[in-house]
Amino acid sequence: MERTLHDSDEKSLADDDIRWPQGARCCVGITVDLSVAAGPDGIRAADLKTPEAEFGANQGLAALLSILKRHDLSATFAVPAVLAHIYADQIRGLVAKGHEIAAHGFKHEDVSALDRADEHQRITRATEILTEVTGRRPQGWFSLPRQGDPFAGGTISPNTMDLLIEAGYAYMGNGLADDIPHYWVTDFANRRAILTLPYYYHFDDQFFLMFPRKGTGLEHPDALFKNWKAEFDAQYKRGRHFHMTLHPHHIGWCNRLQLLDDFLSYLRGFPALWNPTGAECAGYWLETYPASAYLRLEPSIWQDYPGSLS
Amino acid sequence: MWEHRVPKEPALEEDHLAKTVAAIEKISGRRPVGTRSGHSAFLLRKYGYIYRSEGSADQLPHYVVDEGGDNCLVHLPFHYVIDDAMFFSFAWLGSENAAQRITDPEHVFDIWWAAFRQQYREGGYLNICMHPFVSGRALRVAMVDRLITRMKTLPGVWFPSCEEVARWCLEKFPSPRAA
Repeated sequence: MERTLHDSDEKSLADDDIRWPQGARCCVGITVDLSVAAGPDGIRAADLKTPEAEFGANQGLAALLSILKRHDLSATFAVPAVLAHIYADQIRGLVAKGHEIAAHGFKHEDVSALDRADEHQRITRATEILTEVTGRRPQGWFSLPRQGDPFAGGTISPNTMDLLIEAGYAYMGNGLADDIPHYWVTDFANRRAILTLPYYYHFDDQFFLMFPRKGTGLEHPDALFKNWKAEFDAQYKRGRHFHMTLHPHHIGWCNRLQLLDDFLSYLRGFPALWNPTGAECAGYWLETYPASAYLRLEPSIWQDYPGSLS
Repeated sequence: MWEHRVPKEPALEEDHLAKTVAAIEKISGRRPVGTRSGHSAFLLRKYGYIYRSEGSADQLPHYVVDEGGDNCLVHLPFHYVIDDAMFFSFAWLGSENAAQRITDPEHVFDIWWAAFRQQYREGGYLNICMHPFVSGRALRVAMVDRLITRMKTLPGVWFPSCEEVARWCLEKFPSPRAA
């Protein structure tokens, strides 16, 4: 069977075709990634004992929650199942504060080379753990990049999206193909697809703060802040979607926290914002822009030639 | 190029170029006349190309010939400083994690505006290269909008296509070897 190279709806929505609830001008989504995975193996016991992890789980998280509360904003927390298990009380506390808990893998491991049965087992176990801890099934599944990954998009396997559909997830939390919610197609012929929320690494704090740890980097919160501001200005003007991805162990530290506070003050100065959790956004989009009417697939134009890529 | 690489085998190289020309002509109704690729000058001339754009030996458009002194083409200078991908792409050209240097659009606006100001004073030329998947993002297309708007506040700024520039050079400043 020929592999389809159309993974998602190729056509986005024009600015004028996008409407948000209650006449809101712009949708603002905030993802908070609780993973402290250092590499492709995901979270190891040692990763939980670093000073950074300690900070991220305690003071950093508290500081971030305080800022979100002060600016009256809700977030979607992408939580690896092993962390939900260890920090169950804190996770339940997030739910009580009105935030969403979404799955972020079993231990935020790189699943790209796993066989289907193995990956299926991990998704099942992760879903069970999160359901146990929060009292409700997670609606969303994330697979965000780790700071040490060679690429900044997050890793999945050829089976991941299909497995998520099978497991009943309402949405995939991070996709690069659009700047608004969009459908990720797993089977072109059957129009099998899962709603995906936009992600772009230029709005992810981990790639600007003490990054790269060894090499050309160091500290660029100014670039991160400018990216957020430029993107929000553009998305607000055009009536589309703005999102940012935060990690408590990065953003919670003094100078970064100050810049976040400044930016959120700026953002909150704009009227007619809608700030849903991932599940709320997905629920709205699925109802307002259902795949049956809005997923417009066209036959693939790809052809193989001798002496050419296929 | 057919697939963003130039094959080393001459027969395959010509096959790729022929397919490229046919595909573009079929879609756009016109044959392409310029390239940023490393295709051989001989083949490019054979297939009707008039310009290439590969390096930065001069700030201004100039003529390049192959090793035999033949197959003259207009060369439109290209430089990574006025290309968006290096500034905004993770792992560009296979760069490793420790070498990442992604930055914000304001930083690049300042660089491009300084480049434009300098060339404007000289009566020169800028060939800014952008990729839809890079500069098409909302925060960057807003920057490009500001940049062009600001350029247009100055008199005498010409915004031609590369073909228009190449044909202007060939007509007004012909090279004895261009024929």
